[in-house]
Amino acid sequence: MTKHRTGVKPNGTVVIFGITSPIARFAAITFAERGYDIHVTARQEADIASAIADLRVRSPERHVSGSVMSAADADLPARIQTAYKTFQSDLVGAVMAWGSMADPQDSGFYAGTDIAAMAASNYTGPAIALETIAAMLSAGGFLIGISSVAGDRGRQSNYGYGAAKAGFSAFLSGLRNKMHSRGVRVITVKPGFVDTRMTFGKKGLFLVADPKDIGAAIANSIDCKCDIRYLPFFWRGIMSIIKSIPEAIFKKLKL
Amino acid sequence: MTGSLQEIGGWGRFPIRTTQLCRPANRAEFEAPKLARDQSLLIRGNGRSYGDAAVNPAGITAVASNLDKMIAFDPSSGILRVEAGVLIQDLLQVMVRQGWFLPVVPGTQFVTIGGCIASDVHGKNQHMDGDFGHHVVSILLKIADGTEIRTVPSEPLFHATVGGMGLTGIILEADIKLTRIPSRKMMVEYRASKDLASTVELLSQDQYGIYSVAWLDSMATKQSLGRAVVMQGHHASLGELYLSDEQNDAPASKTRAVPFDFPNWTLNRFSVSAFNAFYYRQQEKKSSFVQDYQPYFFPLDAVSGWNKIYGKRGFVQYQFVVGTDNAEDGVRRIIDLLRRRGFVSFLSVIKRFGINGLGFLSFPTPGLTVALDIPVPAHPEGLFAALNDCDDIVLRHNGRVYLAKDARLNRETFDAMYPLADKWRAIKRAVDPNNTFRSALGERLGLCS
Repeated sequence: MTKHRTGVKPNGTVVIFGITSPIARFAAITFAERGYDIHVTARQEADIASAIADLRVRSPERHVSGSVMSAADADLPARIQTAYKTFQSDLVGAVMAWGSMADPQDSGFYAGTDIAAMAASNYTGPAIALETIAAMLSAGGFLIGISSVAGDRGRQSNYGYGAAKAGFSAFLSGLRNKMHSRGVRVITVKPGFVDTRMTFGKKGLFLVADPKDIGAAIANSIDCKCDIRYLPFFWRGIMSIIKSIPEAIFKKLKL
Repeated sequence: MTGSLQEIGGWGRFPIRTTQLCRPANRAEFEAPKLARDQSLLIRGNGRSYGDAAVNPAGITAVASNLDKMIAFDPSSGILRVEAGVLIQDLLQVMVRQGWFLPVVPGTQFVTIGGCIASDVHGKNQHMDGDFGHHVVSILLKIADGTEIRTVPSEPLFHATVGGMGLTGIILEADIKLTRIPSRKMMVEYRASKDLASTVELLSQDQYGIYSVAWLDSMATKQSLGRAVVMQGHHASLGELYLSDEQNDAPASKTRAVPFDFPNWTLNRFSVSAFNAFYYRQQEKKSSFVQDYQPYFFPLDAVSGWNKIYGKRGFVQYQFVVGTDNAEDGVRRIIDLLRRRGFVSFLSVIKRFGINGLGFLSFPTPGLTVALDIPVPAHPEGLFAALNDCDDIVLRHNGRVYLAKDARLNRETFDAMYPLADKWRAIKRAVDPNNTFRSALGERLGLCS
């Protein structure tokens, strides 16, 4: 097996956590086109079946499989182990696309259950799943965690979501540190506004990206030496400005 | 389904109507629409129809972009099953590399399969291979009472849904029979004709290929009226590619975007005439060459947002067909009328139709079809009067106007042009007695009342 110039193995099975996300779906499609086998997860069997059917028409030569899984599962590590035994080729990597966003209520404050749900779907569940998968990877493997620019700074309109993503970004950073000596790449992807259910019909958006482009870029991240990737690229500059605003001023803004 | 009130139009951006626009996130939301009592619905594909066929001002317009999964492909029969929101662009990208093509494609890739069925679109090979509906093996349709029916060509419901402008129900899936192709390239030949008679003559010669269409210089007058560049082609075999020294590789795609609305005066008599004369000279020089399938079938797709060249007022496309007897005379009269009244058409296309569409409201019938893009002027009454007069000419020549492009046809003329309209209405009453599925076009033409 020849090695890719960034050290990532060119084939094997890639696990896509959360295939109902359009971004995850297009990442899966790109990985399949690049020659990887795919294992998808979703909460509903019907979604898994339709994702598998779609991938099989697009890349008939690839092995495609799936298993039911959710960020809130109590037995996540066990489910992942069970799925692992069904892979037709060596596990080489994973994309973590779990996440959900709830808005503050009309009062301006979050419901407690929403805060807990967002922490579970954006941080706890993804962290447990990636930790489990990481232990199974060897040199030449990769993990891609989809975080968000929202995690770069908490702002009043989405700090429940932003905080969970901030935690996830820090987790990925630590994981990257640990896995470096094992030859496994950990890539943090931070998309800006993407045209999905999360953003449809919302006001105040700009530079909204197509999930097709973001998904393909995520899969092609294995070609670059990046550790943290803002997608599209210009969000790095935007967030750099946002992060540099002194707190004394930021707290007065209505972002 | 809950949406937000938005103003949308078709590709011509005329008319613009208000609707409750929503975008269901997955198949489940299309299967259980959860409509309020008396609420009406229309499924919108990619909004590439030109007029008001894809907007429901009376209620909800649901965009089908998330109904976009491929379901199954059987290489032994060539039958592909897809969800109705799949774009032609996506389908071809996946299937061309496996050696398959759609037997009928319209002039842009950015149409959904559901849209192809609802408008019963046609392509450059209509005279040989008919329309999109002729190659559909079955349609999974959800009707107003919630039942899902898989309808096939032997049933009246199929003939009402093909060309039915989305008004019989929600098209969820379709089975389409694909054709095998030897390569992704086309062998193309351009020939210039000096007048309408020779254009029609060249269009009836098939030896160069099953796909033929002509770009018409609609500004040419007198003896040159109807001069055109006739473009014919066929799928290139590997042998032909070898002899032409070409590879069967995908070219790097180059899309340019029109960044903003051009000022309304950009397209006027003088600029359009000058452009047409220049373009005619350029195309005249080419003869036969190899072209990738995308620029051959979908030349305008390379310029994204080209409709903005027409400015904020938008444009109408008038596409008609005139029957075989005296077809040339009909075309001549219409081009003449529009030119005399001062309406310039930047992009004009003429094709030969050979086969009747199978839907009750299908547009194609044997004869000549011409499509004319006309900018909407500040005071549009003159344009609509002229188009009504063109309708009369079309009717006198046993023809009709294409609903997928239409923005202004009236009910009376429509009924005269589409003799099977009442047969269609009977099916509509049977599957949608409360008129749950409505559109602005449907209300205008008496298809949902």
